[in-house]
Amino acid sequence: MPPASAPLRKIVHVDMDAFYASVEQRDRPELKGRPVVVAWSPEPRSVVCAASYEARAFGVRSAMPATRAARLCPGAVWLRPDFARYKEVSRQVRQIFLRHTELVEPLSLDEAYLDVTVERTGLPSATETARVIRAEIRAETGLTASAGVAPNKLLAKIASDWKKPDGLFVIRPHQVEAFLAPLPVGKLPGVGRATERLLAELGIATAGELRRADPRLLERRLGRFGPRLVELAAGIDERPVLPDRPTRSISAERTFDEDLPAPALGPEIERLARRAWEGAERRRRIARTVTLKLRTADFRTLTRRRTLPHPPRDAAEVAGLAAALLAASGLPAEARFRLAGVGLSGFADEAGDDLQGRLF
Amino acid sequence: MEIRLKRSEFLTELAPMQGIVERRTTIPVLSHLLLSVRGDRLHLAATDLDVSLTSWVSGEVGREGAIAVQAKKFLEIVRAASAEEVLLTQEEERGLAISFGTARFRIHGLPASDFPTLPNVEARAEVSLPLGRFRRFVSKVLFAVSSEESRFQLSGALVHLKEGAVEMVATDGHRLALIEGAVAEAKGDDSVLVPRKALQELLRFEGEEQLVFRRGEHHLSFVAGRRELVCRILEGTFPDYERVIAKQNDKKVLVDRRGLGEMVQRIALITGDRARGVRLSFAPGEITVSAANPDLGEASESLACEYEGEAIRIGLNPDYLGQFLAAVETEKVLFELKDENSQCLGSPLGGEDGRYLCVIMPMRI
Repeated sequence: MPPASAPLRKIVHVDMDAFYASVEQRDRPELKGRPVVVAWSPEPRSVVCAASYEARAFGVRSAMPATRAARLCPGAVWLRPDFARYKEVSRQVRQIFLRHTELVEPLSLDEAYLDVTVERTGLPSATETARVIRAEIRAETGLTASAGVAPNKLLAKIASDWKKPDGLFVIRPHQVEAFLAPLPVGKLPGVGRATERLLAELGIATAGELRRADPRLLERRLGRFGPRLVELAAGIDERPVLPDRPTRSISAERTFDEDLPAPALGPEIERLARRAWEGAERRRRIARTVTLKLRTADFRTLTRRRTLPHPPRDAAEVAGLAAALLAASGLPAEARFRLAGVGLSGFADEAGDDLQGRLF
Repeated sequence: MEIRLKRSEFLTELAPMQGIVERRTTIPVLSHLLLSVRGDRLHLAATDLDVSLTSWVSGEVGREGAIAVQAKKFLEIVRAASAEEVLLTQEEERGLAISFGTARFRIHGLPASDFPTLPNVEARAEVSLPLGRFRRFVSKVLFAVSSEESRFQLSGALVHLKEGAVEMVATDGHRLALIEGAVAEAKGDDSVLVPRKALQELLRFEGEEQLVFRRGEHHLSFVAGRRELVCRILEGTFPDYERVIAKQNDKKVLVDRRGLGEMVQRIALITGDRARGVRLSFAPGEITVSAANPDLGEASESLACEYEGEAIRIGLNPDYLGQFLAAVETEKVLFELKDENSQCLGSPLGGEDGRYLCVIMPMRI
């Protein structure tokens, strides 16, 4: 049983620069340096699918009504989107990602998260991996991409936007707090204009201020998003990179209404174990590894896991194992918890893959 | 647009569109069908940008026009219609009324101009093949096509048209299926990688008519009757498959196909998990299938077979073996083996296919 909490992850977010417009400019050299707007047509109900950086200089943005774009940039070249071609290039880029890791989560044709904690080609760091990927994209597709490197998806995405276009920005674990403190709240995912205004009324303009805010007050004003927002402002984001393929782990977790002491966790763990178990049953997966995740009142997150020689038989056995992991967690008796989770992984059919011989 | 259609005829052409439409897509229009009324017909089109399908039905036309509608809901509504006839009326650029009996649905759509332009396959030559035979070939290799995204060039089957013959090969790296048979209409010498989804949809083409196959620069077209399926050609190099088909497996076993298939399925029950292997032990005159599951117990069963060599054991994925046995139609199947670390080469004994085989790599148990 590994005593440490979950290992540090290395996440890269890659975002192609003005993707559709760049593909068009690449394939039609006469468009280079000219403002290009990709949209169905410059008619009232149509919206902008993509704008080249030349068009952005005029204030044109994607998802803007086409009529407005036409007003802002009268000299723009209008092109109908050719998604088949974009998808082809997107696939080419995906193949580049897959050389480095199989943990690729595409968000759309032009952006993806990569978990490069374990890198396939043996590159020494995530920063180097991101650099190589950007170089490969440029060499093989003639397009530029921006990348963000960070310990989680949230920060990687903010980072990729930081030096856009054609940039690379790295947030190292020890820089997270200093980076986030002055960050305007509007840069956090899910914070739109309405939330931004609401936070401003509370005197909160930056992630640093948000982090120090009273979570109860935020919850009253923002509902369930309030506490989550405080986590985001603290740079906490444990969402895994989910590739488009069979699930690697099935888990259930819960943030409590108020912080709970260890003895009160028992029934919660039982419920979570049952939920995780049912999730695995539904997907007909048989797991051998049980993981307990805990977050303390002071935002420390730790995970404890145990892999069994044989898969557990039922939810009760999973709950029993999770409770044993809690007892052995080494946390002080007075610790209080804001979140608990139970996960199942190490699925039997995955282990089988190594045993299966290959032809090619 | 406005057109009155016979519901059952309409459904026959509408239902297959569902297989093409993407369930999860970042491009909303791809979850839509294009409906366009021209002449006395309603033309239907669906695409996921890689594979597209078009067809038509004739009806009583009021006026021409076109609109894209959400495929899943539209199909559900037409399927649920309680009358023999369905009337489609476009009310504006983005609204479509579906009327039958006293029911009237009005659904939002997207302008037809938002629907992607489907590729036009400009081919120099076309080959016409019997649809039934083509389907049969596909069904013999489709199970071996890879579903792993990282092995892009294996996510389809190689279709090789020869002079008077067609060959199809598929592999996922663990096993390989190959069929080659005489098809009088086939000509030339040309091979192409056809993506899995296109093959799956072609299997649903019904009837015994001709399938007209054309190859363009980047796309393939398959026409049968009123349906046309167009797909992007998979780019990439298919592995040198002849090299991995063993020629010198000296241990030959003849066994009843159905008996073995059922036995493998039964014994696999104890594994409790699809990827855990079963062990095949061959002894003179007898084959034994066994499996063990540390949680549950173990199982074994034997069957008479024709085998005279020394005893040999091999571990196999029961699904791989089962899918091959299910695709074979002959009474007996021949397995050629070398040792427990080498591939198992299976083929039907006799049968109507010129050459049909399946290579399965062993599993360590």
